[in-house]
Amino acid sequence: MFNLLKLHLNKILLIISLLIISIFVSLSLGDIKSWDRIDWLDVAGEGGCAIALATWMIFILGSRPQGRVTDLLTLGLGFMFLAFWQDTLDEFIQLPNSLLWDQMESIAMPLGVMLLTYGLYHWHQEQLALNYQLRKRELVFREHRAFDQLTLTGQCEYISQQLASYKNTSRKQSLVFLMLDINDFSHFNRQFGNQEGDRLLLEMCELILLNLRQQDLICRYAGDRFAVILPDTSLTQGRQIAAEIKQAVKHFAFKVPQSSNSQFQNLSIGCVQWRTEHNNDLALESTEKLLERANFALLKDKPIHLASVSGLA
Amino acid sequence: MNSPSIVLYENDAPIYSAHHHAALLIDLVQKKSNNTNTNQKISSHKLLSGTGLFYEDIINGEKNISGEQILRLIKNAQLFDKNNDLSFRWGHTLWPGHYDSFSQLLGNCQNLYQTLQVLSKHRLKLSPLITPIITQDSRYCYIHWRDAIGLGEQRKFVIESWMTGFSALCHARSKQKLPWHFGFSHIKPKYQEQYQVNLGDQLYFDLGIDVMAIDKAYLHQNWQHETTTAYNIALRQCQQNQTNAVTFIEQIFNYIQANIRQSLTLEEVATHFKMSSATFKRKLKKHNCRFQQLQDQTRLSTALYLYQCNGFNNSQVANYLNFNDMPNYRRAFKRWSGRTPNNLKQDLSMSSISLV
Repeated sequence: MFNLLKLHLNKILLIISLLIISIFVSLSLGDIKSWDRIDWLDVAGEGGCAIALATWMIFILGSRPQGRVTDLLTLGLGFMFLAFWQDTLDEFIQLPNSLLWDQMESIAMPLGVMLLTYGLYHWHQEQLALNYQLRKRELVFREHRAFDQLTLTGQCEYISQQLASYKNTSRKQSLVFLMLDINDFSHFNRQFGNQEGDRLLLEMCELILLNLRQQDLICRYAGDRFAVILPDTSLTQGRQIAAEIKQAVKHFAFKVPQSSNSQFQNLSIGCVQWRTEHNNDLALESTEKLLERANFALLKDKPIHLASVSGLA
Repeated sequence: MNSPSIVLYENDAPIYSAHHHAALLIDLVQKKSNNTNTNQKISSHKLLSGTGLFYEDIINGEKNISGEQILRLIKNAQLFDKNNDLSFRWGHTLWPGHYDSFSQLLGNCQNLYQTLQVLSKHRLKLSPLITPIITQDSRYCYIHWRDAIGLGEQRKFVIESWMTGFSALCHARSKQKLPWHFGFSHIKPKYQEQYQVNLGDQLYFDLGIDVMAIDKAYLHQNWQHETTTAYNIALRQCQQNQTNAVTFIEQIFNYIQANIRQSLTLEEVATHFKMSSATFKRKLKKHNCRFQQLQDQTRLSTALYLYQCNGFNNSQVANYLNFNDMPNYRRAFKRWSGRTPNNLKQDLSMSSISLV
């Protein structure tokens, strides 16, 4: 967060200098109120608003790169903040009534609100563009806490949430669920270390993403196991996609610094269709059951003796 | 075994090399932060806070640390573990590891049986936090992973690492995934998928003890074509560097186990170890445990052993452990494990390691 704040140093300096100017101008034009004339409820209300707005500004500046949307949002909040700030100052300093300076807050507030509204509109547009980039990693649901730190895809919890929300929708098209796993990944990890292993997972994830359709979703289940949700897909189509992913991975030449030879991997994939429960044709089986069947199918897809395939290190 | 000449190492005794297991964990946390997309840099300062260690101490390779310090490090490391996979990743790196000749010995064992013997014999170097206790019945070999230093809240994390580590070691050495069964004393965690991927599908929770089991047929299956020379050389070096030290907690467990048919009191055990009850209590507290708890755990594991390996029924076990009547035994069992004997036995038999 603080790294990003550095990018906005000039904005922050501008706001601080405006604050200081407003204090000096108020002090030079008005008189300080006596202690008993101060309305502390007003001070708390207006001062509190000013503090809240300042906090929002810091959050926005701290989470965003430079750009038009950031400028608009900060300017909007900044003007609103100045208005509240001046209001708070008024509680301590008596200004002559006719003064133009005192009118500043009545101008700053609407201006701030307008800029903020305009900024939010553009933020909305920007978000739509970002959503497009996040496609295949995110569907209906957004929950940043459920995201895997390495691959930036959902974690197991996110899969369950997605499946649950799919279950609740009324349209019941066929859904196919894939569980993918790199064969002998632990061997790779031992040979080249965890850091290379993590990099392999990350690149493997990108590769699988490239082979998915726009409506599909990939999540990291755990370790080297990925889950893919294929909505509106028949089992035959699902198997086709699984075979395509396997092919793509097979030809993926991963480079490690420790060796001049490219490292090739194979995937095992469990492919299952979400079916209805035995005794109830209308309800889909539970997500746990689906995951369990997918994991089982995955194990069945594993080559029986990895030893003979991978050879000796 | 209980001769007073043996030194009792408490959890503040610096007897473990800092650049061994602890360093692997530090490496993982720091590497992870380099690789991930979060811009949060993990300073070694934050990771080592409260341990009294400096990063320089660890990389210079001569510093010894205590069990207490390792536990604090684990506690700190968990703060950075957003994916719930740190314990498993640590596990994968544990063995054979880089523990000098001990790793060489472990990594050159010819079969599972030998591996278990080496791990158990050199546990202070190889398995410092948990003691592997190995038993067999007619069909299965069991490894009961018993707390060696008073793990307290870190028990689950360490158990996850140890079981992952040992099954991964066997996988790497035997070049096949061995059909282990895993039983845990804790209840099924939310992140069960990590268990599935890192351990397998034979998982049983809420059993009261932490145990791994495997068909005895795998014990003597030959693993390697490598020469036995490396093993023999390592063996000689290890014998030279061997220490006979036993940790405080291990020693108490052993004493309780040796007298399992009597109901020992805290005072009796304190007297045996030549300390006052107050000192004994204080030491136990330092190790995150109470006497009753240690005794309960030992009785539970004994009871389960008798059910499983000797095919005892409830009254035979109650009789063996010197309970006067069944209701008493059932109540006690419930206190040890949180479950009734029959309920727990049902789970054991479901694990397809059924009682004959």
